[in-house]
Amino acid sequence: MSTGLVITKHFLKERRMVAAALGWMVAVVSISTVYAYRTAYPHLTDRLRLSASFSHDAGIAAVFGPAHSLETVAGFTAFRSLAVIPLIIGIWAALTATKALRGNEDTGQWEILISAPITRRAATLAALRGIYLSLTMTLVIGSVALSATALISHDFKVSAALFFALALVSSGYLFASIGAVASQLVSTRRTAATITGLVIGLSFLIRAVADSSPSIAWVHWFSPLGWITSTAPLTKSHWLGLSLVFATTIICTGIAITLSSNRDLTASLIPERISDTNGREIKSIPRLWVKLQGLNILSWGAGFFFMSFAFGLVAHGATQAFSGSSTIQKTFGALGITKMSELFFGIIFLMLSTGLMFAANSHAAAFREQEAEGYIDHLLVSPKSRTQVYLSRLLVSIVGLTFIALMAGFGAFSGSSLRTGDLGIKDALMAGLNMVPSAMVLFGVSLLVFGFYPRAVSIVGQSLLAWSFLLELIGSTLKLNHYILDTSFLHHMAFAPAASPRGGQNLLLLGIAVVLSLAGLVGFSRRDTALG
Amino acid sequence: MGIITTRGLTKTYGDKAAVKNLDLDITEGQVFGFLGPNGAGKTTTIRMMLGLIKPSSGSAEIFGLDCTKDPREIHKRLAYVPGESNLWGSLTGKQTLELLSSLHGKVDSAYQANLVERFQLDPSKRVRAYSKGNRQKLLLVAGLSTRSDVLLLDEPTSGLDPLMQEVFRSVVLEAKERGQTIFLSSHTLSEVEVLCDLVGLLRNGELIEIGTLEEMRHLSALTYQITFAGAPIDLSKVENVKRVVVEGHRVSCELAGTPTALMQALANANVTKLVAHEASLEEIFLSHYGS
Repeated sequence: MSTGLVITKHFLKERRMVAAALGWMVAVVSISTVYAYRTAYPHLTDRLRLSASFSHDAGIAAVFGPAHSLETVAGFTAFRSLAVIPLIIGIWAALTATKALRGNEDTGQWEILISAPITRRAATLAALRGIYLSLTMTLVIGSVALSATALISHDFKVSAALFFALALVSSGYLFASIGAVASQLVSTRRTAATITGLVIGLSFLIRAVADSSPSIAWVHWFSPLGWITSTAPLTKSHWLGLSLVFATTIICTGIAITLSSNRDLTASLIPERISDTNGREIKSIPRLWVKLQGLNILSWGAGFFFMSFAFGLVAHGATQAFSGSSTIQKTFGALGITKMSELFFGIIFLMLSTGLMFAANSHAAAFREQEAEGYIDHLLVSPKSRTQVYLSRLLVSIVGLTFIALMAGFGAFSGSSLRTGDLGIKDALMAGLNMVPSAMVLFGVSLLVFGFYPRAVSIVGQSLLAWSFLLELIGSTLKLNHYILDTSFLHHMAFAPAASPRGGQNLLLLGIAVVLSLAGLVGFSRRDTALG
Repeated sequence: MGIITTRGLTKTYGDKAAVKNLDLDITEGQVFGFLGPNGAGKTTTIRMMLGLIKPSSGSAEIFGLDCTKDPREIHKRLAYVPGESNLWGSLTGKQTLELLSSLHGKVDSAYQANLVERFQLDPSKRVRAYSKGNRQKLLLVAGLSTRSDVLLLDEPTSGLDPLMQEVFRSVVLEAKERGQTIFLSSHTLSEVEVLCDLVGLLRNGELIEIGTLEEMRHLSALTYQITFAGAPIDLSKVENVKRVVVEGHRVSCELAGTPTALMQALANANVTKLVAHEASLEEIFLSHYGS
């Protein structure tokens, strides 16, 4: 086997599990949308009302993209899936590419790979080939599942399903190639990932602005995400947008490969500032954690603010759509929820709490990484106790996660205030804080695993999160037993602001989180530190 | 009085013992050289002494305190310098020194500045921009400037150039003069030879030899280099002679025990030159681990 193939296989093998999981996500989200739409809008009149309210709301178009044929299952499925899946796959692919091409260079692993009989260009191509193949795995799983749905439901053709799957996954190829270029430009993985994240954010923003008004709709051709939404899969299947995506992918891949052979190893085309004579003093462990985690917390906070701000802007249009569904009104009316704007925000905060739980698990995973890489040895060989090291990390995470939750509440309030003012500041902040207990329970579970089996922190946390997300997505559609639904961390959240946060239950969840965290501390204090 | 004491110290991973029944007694002010090939269990021993990992059985004490139960008290009077370690890349060298000094709670700032100068370290740079050698210098400066009673040094000169290794030696000798106790795990045998009062050899987790360098030399074989006028005679069967290597007219061998048989064998041979010398630490090391 040639060296290039060995490298390709290595990168494919590293990513195949997540790639397969993304494939299943494409399948589950799309298929559940098909069946959820049929259940929520069983009559043509409901569907026409939905289509009318969504199609003419600038805010909805800005956040979710242009709506085509929402009175059909195919149109609604494409509309809902295109709003979320390309973003998730694009972000994952960008992070993967920057990790492979700059992260491995940071840690010295790339040096070992290219010391084999292979040129830098060929090695870069081989690594990207591994990432592209893993995305193809996502594509294949999604295509098979969507084709099967097409055959069973008869809502769209198999050829349309295949085009749809390609449109959903195409962002992965594109942003991976952009991440590959960024990895050649800057000297750290974090900066490369930030640059690629900015490109994705800018792309979203341009598309949102373009889709908010028909008079400037042409602007969406300046946004890669706009190219993807312009494909109108399942209903019209336009190839132009996809052609642009793949042409850009090829060009960026070529640029990344060329740049990789035209710079020194570990150097970057944009020079890095290596000295800092004015750096602030760091004289305590909490300050160290803030220095290491602060930017991450601020980024999450800003992301949550802008996301909930955008949803606040579109709340009015979405509320009208809910009002158009007699099934939704009946279902939530039975739960005492009559204000559709609050119902909309309840769904949004439920969705955001998935993100907050992901952030919570990533905090535990970051702590584990500090241990695995030997960083916390420097702290543990000082006269500070393990308890101090652990609790200081815990404190920074609690403050950070609470800040992110409050930013979500503040963003939703700000967005809503600009349109209708449906959401008060107190309700918005309470809805934000209402996300914290569930996230803390997952954080507690992650810390418990950290205390006793540290190598499994990420996989256990992410699996529980995926399970909770899946149950929330398909649980009600499939009418699952409440014992099963109770295993979802999200299921115990009050539907704030539609329903008042349940103080007692939230205190109970926080109590469970405290117990789990303390149990994790017991484990951490008693076990050996585990490198690698 | 023993500053560092281990009794039956054992660490097992599954059915594999990384360290087996280790007994050590290192007294105050001593410089102890801890030698062994890769994977012998040196770092595992040090990590047990630091309380980072717990012994499967046996005990380790520093200052009379149990390393598992009282690591905080021990760490107040101890500094550790790892040979292979990650440092936070986003911090500058100065920030790292400030942090590590603050955590330890005790630092001689003037001495730290002196060490920064002697090791030619630029603390304004971010750690990410440091070479491996410079990162090692940073760890050395941080550890040594605490002037702790005990210094645990785990391959502290890895990555340092010969000039900086010389600086390291002088700094350790100064610490020794001040009466600090030094536990030095190293692969640089010349360094151990110069610095250490007591040397322990570890193999497969077991202490196979411990003593002063002089004691070890006495226990070890003498090395002979013999030059013959003509073809060399066969010395491989001679009593107490081992590791016979023939190169043309020259034979080198080791003698462990009395030289009587060797002298008798050489008496009638046409020997033009005979040189004997005591084993260097490297030769002792190789004689224990070479085969």
